Formats: sequence, C-alpha cells, structure tokens
Amino acid sequence: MRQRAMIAMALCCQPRLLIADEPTTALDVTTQAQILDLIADLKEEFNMGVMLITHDLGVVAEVAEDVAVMYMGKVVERGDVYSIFEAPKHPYTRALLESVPRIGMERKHRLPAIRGMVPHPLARPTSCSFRTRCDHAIAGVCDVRQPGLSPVGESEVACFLHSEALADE
Amino acid sequence: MSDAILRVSNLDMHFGATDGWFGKTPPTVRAVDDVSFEVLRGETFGIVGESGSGKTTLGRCIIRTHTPTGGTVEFRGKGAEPVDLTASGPEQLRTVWRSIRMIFQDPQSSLNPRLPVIELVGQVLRKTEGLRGKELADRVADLLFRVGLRPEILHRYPGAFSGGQRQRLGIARALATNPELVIADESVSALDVSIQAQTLNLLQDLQESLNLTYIFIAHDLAVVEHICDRVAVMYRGQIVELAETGEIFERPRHPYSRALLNAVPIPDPRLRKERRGRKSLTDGDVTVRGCRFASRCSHATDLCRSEAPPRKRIGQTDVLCHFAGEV
Repeated sequence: MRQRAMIAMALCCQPRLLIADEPTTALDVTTQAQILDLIADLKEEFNMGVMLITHDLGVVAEVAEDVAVMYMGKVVERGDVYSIFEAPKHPYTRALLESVPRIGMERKHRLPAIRGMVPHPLARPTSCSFRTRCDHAIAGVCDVRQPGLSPVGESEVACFLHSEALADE
Repeated sequence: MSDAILRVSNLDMHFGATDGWFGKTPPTVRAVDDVSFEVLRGETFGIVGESGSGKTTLGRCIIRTHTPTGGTVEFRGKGAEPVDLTASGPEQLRTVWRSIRMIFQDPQSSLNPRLPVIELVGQVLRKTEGLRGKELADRVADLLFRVGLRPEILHRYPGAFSGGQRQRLGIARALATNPELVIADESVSALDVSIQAQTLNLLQDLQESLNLTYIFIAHDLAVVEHICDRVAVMYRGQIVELAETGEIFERPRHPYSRALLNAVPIPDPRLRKERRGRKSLTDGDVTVRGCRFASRCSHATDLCRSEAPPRKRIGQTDVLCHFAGEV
C-alpha cells in the first residue's frame, strides 16, 4: 500500500520517464506481482518510459524490454531481454543467471556461485574490473586493457572474449 | 530418516490474550494457531508464507524467545530424553539452546558492532564451556575456517565486513556449540544473488559435514525449493499445506499455495505472456469463522465462509481446505 502511494506521488506530474529503484525488493511475492502489474498498466496508460533498477532477475524477465547489466560502475552488457536471458555473452551476466535458484530446477545440487565478492570500490582491479572473479580471464589481455562496449550479435558487450571487442580496441 | 528431532503439537501463540487496561479486552492476534508438524533428523524443513503469516513467530516459539500460549514443542536431542520446551525452566532452556541455534535475518543488526569477531562468535563458548585465551581463539578460528572466513579476522569488528561475510559470521556463531538443529530465519533474503548462492552452498556443505537439521524460514520460494526436503506453507498463523518439496511445487493443493507459486517472477522472458492476466491475489479481510483464506480465494463458497476447513490428507500432502483435491 505504501509502495502504491509512492507510485502515485511519482506520477503526479505526468512524467515521461519513471525511475523505479528496487520497487518491489522488500515486498512479498503476491504484493510484488500486484505492483509489477500496476507499473505495467500505468506505463501503457501514461505512455511513459520506465527505468527499473533491480537485482532480481525474475522481475527483469517479467517486465523489461531492454536490459543493461552493470558491474562496478560500468555497463558490461546491454541488449534486449531475450538476448540477455537466452544468449548472455559477458561472463558476469552468464554467472549471474546461473547463480539464481529457479523453481522447477533440479534440486539440492550446488549452485554455480560467482567466486569471491565485489571488490572494494577503492581497490578496483585495473583494466577489466571483473577479471579477478572471471573464470575466462585471459592473462596479458584482460589485466592490461579495459574492454569497451562493442556490438556482438544483438547485444553490446564489454569483454575481450568476444573478438569484435578486441578488434575494436 | 523417520526419527523426529522436533515435534510441534497444537502450538498456539496468541498475542494480547490477557485482560487489557480498565477491563477492556484487546483483540487477540492469533499469530500461530494450532500448528502441528514434525521435523525429521537430518532434513531441511522449509516454512514459507507472506509477511504476517506467523513464520517468524513460529520460529521464536520453537526456540522459546516467545512463550507459546498453548501446545507443546518436543525436542529430542541425540541420545537424550525428549524435552518439552514449552514447559522448560531457564536452566533446562540454557542446555537446549546449545543444541538449537538460530541464524538471523539481518546480518547488519544481529551482530553487535562493538564486539570483535572472537567475542561475537565465541561468547557462547566462554559462557557455556568456560573457554579462555588461546583455547577460545583456536576454537573460533576453526569455526571461521568452516564458514570460509580467514582466521586472521578474529580481532576485527563487524563494521569491517560485507553483508555476505556478516552472514557467515552469523552462521559461525550458530555453529559454535555444535548444534543439532539450526533455525535459519530469512538468512539469505538480504543478500545479493551471487552471495546468496555462495551462502546456500555453504549451508548445504555444513549440513552434510556436521549432520545438521535445518528449519529454513523464507519467503523466496525458489530458494526454498532449492534447499528444502519438506515445506510447510503458512497463512495467517496456520499451516495450510505441508508436503515434500517436489510434491508442493508440482502439485500445490491449496489455492493459497498455488497463488503464491503463480506470483513468483520466473527469470525467463518467454514465459511472460502466459502469466499476464493472471489473477493477482488481492488483500482480504480475515473472516472470523470459516476459512481464513476465503476472502481472497476464487473458489470460496458459503461453506468456506462459515466453517473452518478440516485438515485433509490427499496423496502425500496435508492440506487445510474444504475443497482440496477438487479445485
């Protein structure tokens, strides 16, 4: 109910863009479903854009058309929701998707977790900031240069594993 | 597997059941109402439900931080006589609290920021086993190692750690007394997905190596399905459905369990369309008589609104619904 009031406040100037930062993270699944439906309906009605910030991949799959995946302050992959979920390219995106338990998945196995944790912002690894946790980091490449966001298929990816990114540099 | 470590029978926790001021009787909140279940040794028993369903209160009644207003909680430690925790005195509870431990929800507030790690994790050992000095430091270092933390952190304070590390500290603290039963109340809910996966794996590893039994309280159904052997679904203080995990997730019998499962967002954009137009669960009034879920249930009839549903057994599932198996 409070979240509805917040949405009402956000909408009172008839915005063209609604930025929703973790709008359903603290809510129960049933309430979350209501709020997501509500945001989807309002989006149609007001013909506005919605920028949804969340860590819940289920919510993203449910409502988003385009997705940007961020790691340590940088967008590491950007694409439409189908490319991101069905053909993730950046090792971080892939690892994120694998580490979520899903309903109907084989039970009781160990989840493929991303090792380590997000480095302290003041101790950011040089060049590619994900390389310290990446299983595919290439010595002499990933620790030397910083990958830029470049088109790979339908998406844009910042990773040297995709040769287009290498050629681009 | 058939021996029960914990047997909860007809447990009630009604708040405000005493006389109010000036002879007024305040309304009673039946946070836990006639709840019965067994937890088997070595299993992970899940309790799910929305906030306000009474799952946390139930956990607190088991560990006796709330004194239940009715019913019994029978705990059978290994090689020990069964103890009814609801009738135990402080002395007996202190012993039991070494065998039943709790991991809390919020790693920020459940660790005293003014105590160093050695105290946070080791205090209980100092108090119950009288450990001191190097002996204590060694035991705590060993515990830290078990949960994947470096032993050098003994003299640091919780402020220096991330959420995932704090949750590991909470787990180390719970394990300090070699417990048999660990109650984990929303222990991974506040964590990021990647850290959540690490913590879940850790809990599973520890369960295997230490032969632990878990009561896993959570609202995240995907996590519950992943880690639990059996699941109880709570709604407004009652267990409305209890079955093995596979059974509940494949064939939910209670309309509430089904609604709950339907509401979970699935990380697959292709499944979006078929889920649009689902009936979202609206808020409803609590009916005084009859089924508590009736006002939100699309199958509710006059019978549901007037008469409390009986507990039925359908297949392998216990379910609290007049029309279980039909709807």
